[in-house]
Amino acid sequence: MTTSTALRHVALFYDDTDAVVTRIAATIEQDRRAGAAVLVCLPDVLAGAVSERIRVDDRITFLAADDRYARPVTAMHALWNFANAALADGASRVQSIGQISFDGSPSDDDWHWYERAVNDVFADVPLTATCLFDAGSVPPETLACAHATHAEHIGEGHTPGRCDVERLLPHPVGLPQRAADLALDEVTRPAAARHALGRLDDVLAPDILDRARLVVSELVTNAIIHGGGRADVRYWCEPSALFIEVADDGVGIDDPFATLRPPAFPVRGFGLWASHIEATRLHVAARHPHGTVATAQVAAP
Amino acid sequence: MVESYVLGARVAGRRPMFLNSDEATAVYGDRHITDPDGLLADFERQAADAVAEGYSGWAVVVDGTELVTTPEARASFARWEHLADRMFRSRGDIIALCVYDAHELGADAVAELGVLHQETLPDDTPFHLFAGADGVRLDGELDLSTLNLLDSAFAAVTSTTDGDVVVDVSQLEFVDHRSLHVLGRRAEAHGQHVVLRSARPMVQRLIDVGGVRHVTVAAT
Repeated sequence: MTTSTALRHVALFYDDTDAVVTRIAATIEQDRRAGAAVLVCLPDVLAGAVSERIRVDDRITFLAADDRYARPVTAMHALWNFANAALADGASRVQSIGQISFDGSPSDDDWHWYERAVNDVFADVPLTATCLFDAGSVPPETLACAHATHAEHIGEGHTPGRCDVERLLPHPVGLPQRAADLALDEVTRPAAARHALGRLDDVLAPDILDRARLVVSELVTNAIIHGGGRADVRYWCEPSALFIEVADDGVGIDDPFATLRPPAFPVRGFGLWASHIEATRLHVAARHPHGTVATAQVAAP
Repeated sequence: MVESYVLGARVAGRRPMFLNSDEATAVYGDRHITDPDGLLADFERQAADAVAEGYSGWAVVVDGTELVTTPEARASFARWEHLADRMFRSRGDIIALCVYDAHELGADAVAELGVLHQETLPDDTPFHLFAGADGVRLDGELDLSTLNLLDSAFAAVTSTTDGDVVVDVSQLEFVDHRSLHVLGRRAEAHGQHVVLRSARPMVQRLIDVGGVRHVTVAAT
């Protein structure tokens, strides 16, 4: 028997839409009776069918699976905020029911990494995270990874392949394969990195520049505080995106989920979190021989 | 520089008044603005007299160095500056130039004084917090390096404002969640809320992501 304060991470494999809708509706009603708060983030067709089978009240929240926000960091942000608010509001547990659209693109790696991060971030949270996988359309290797990242499995007839969980990491930000357009060495003030962006004023949209200023400012701030006091900053300017690299030679980050870990009060880790929210993509890796290299892409939404 | 400013005031048709350090101490009070309301009334009379005599207004040039030699004196002076700034702004016929001896005061004090003014010479002040059309205006850039400066500057605003503090951030080029926290905590300490006007879209996201309390973005 699982204790009520621990995470349950459930993979639900289905090939019959009607059956899975019935199953989810029954789960929600059961959760409601148990005093749980429920977050539903499903494609429109599924969400619509589920909402017709249940009594919708303020214990049930439907989140649109909006593409603009469909990134691991925003999914984590939404789930973290919902869980904290619901538990503070007296919910006995939190149930989240979602379906990620795995499509065979490199972003699949990011989402498997997200599933791993959920296990870590919510380990001691009374959350049941139920993730749906359409066994008929999802590639077999994705199903194998889903088996590996979820402790509980529902659904018969699927033979999982092999999956090396430790290797499920986000795919890197693909920097342009050319020399940087702007290079700043040994930056010791965030303002210096921001001001250099002024030279790209007439090339990039104001929204991209605003977000880029925040991203680079926070990455340089982190380098100053944790990374030895200075950073090397590089900018690549593409027609509709800015690429940023901030490298330091500090102690490095020894946490595969550093950029997906919601910050905790009192103020700690908000800088990295805010820059991840503002960036289109953010990747943090070890630098050789030591230090950290953060790469980011800031593009139009 | 002061001479050219006085000349500029004359050319603009304002009657100039120059207070050197000793005179400023005599007018303002010794190291503490003892009667800000009386001083404001006196400034208004000076301006009204100048206008009655045919000038377009009044220009005051003050060497404030001796008024701001200690942190306590600077905190008191900052509150005065905001009260005076608001009165000047509402009238439109008074301009003021504050002169400080940077060598005597030191860099930290100069930075504290600089951010209280809309313009500074030399122009090396990271941000400016001064009276706006409605509430105060906050221009420039706020980040990790300006947290203490922002905290002391904003304390002078919250303590001289009744109710919510309206801040025009249309000319604020950069702000981080830490600085928004500083504004929120100062407001909270006075039982107030900060209302940001003309904020960029990212400011709302920083408030949400950073869990910033007591700060809201006004709908445009």
